[in-house]
Amino acid sequence: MRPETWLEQLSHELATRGLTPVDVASIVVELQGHLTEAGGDPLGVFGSPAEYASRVAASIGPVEAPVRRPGRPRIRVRDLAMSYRRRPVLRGVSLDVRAGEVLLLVGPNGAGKSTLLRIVAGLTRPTSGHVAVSGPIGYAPQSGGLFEHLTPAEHLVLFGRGRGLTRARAQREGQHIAAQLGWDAMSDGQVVGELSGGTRQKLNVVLAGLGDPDVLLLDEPYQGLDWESTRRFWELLWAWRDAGRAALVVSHAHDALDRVDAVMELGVPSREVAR
Amino acid sequence: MRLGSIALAGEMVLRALGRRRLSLALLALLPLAFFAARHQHVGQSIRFLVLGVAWAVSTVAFFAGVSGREAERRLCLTGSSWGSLVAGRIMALLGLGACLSGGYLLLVVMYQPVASNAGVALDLASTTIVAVLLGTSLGAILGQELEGALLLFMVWGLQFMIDPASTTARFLPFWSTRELATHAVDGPQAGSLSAGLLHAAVTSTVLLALTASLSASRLRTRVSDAGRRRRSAGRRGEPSSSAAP
Repeated sequence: MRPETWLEQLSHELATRGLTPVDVASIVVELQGHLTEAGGDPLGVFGSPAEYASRVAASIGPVEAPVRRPGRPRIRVRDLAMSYRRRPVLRGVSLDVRAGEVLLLVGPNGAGKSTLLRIVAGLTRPTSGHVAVSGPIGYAPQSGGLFEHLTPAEHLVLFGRGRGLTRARAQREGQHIAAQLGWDAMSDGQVVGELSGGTRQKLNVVLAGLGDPDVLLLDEPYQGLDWESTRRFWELLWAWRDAGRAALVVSHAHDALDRVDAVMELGVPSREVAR
Repeated sequence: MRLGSIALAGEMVLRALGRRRLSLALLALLPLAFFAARHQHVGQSIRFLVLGVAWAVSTVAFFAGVSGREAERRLCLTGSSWGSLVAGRIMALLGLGACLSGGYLLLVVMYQPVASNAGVALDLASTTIVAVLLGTSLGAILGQELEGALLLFMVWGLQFMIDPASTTARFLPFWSTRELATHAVDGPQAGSLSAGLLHAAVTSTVLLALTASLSASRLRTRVSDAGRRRRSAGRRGEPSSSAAP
């Protein structure tokens, strides 16, 4: 695991154990120095971020034990197959994503990752197989899915209505999520068609998380985001996971492998490579 | 379908359209160009004016439908009802069409009064309804802008070329427009009010049914169906959605 990723996850783990931002920052800075001097894989040197955070928290004082335990399956896919014009895109795909778990879908272009997400979302009908989803879904497509001539604030109102939120509450909740991504959605008066690719993707993530859905389907959610925004995205996703949400994420970024609970590689044949 | 959801969907359609000012200005000028081209002939100028309104309104309705196709599917995924979205869009477009028609009715009354100004108003109103539903249904049939625009051109070309007295013309969506305009300009002996209104009513019903059935099949997701079932079952803790082909 890369030191930056390890430190990032450690920050999150320490924060979830109740350490103050000041404590977290000082620990991270100290460890950063150690890692720079010593080199090597931080997993080998310190263990997993969660284990190390527990040790640090225990040494500082009484803290709560980590609460993350994957719950019941929120997404269940069995023997899924999908063909376009007789060309098989997905074959025999089966997976489970539990509450409190993030599963990453990886694979080469055309492996059917986005198609699988759309099938789970109910937007595309599979050729065969079975999909069961428990709970409301928040879906962020890789592109599109937005109104080009509406502003982000108007999107919040419109998408919030579907979740049963009032105008004010939808904008408040949306702004809260956007702030965690380092973005001020309400003051962005531009219409979506004028936004940068990264900001559009932030809006997609915000709309997916609006109304606290139990299941998150995120297709290349940080495509076009800068480094800081990407870091904030993972913090947000981990917070959602810790709150018991199930997330199925598609990404080509290699650093994503270290940040999720399980990975499934799509291709021929599909296989779950790590959990 | 709730009124608040319909109103919100309509409001957003109007906000989005309101930002395309140049497009709106050009579309508002289209009937005027038709009118001006034939302004020396009272009957023809009125007929071309109303057909211009129909052309403009159906084009706006088509592009409003096509531009939000993917986003509407996503909205349904979050719990919005497809019926509210489509109804809101139709209501907003009818409002926009009514404004355009109202403006041109004023022009007719001031510049070129005819035997029955009320008849022109009726013609404009029925044409606006048919135009909105034509554009909306084409948007539901064809998701692609180019293909849809070409289909609209085809409809319009036939509308202008086919002899309105022929039987074939009665199968075109705006046969009623010409019939009602003739009735308003030349009097009851020249055009049939009841035949025009019946044609407009039948055309509107067919187009509305087409729009509703196509939109329902496109926008009703497994999830939105499951959401409705869950609400009716009183949240019994069953899987909220499942799919099998």
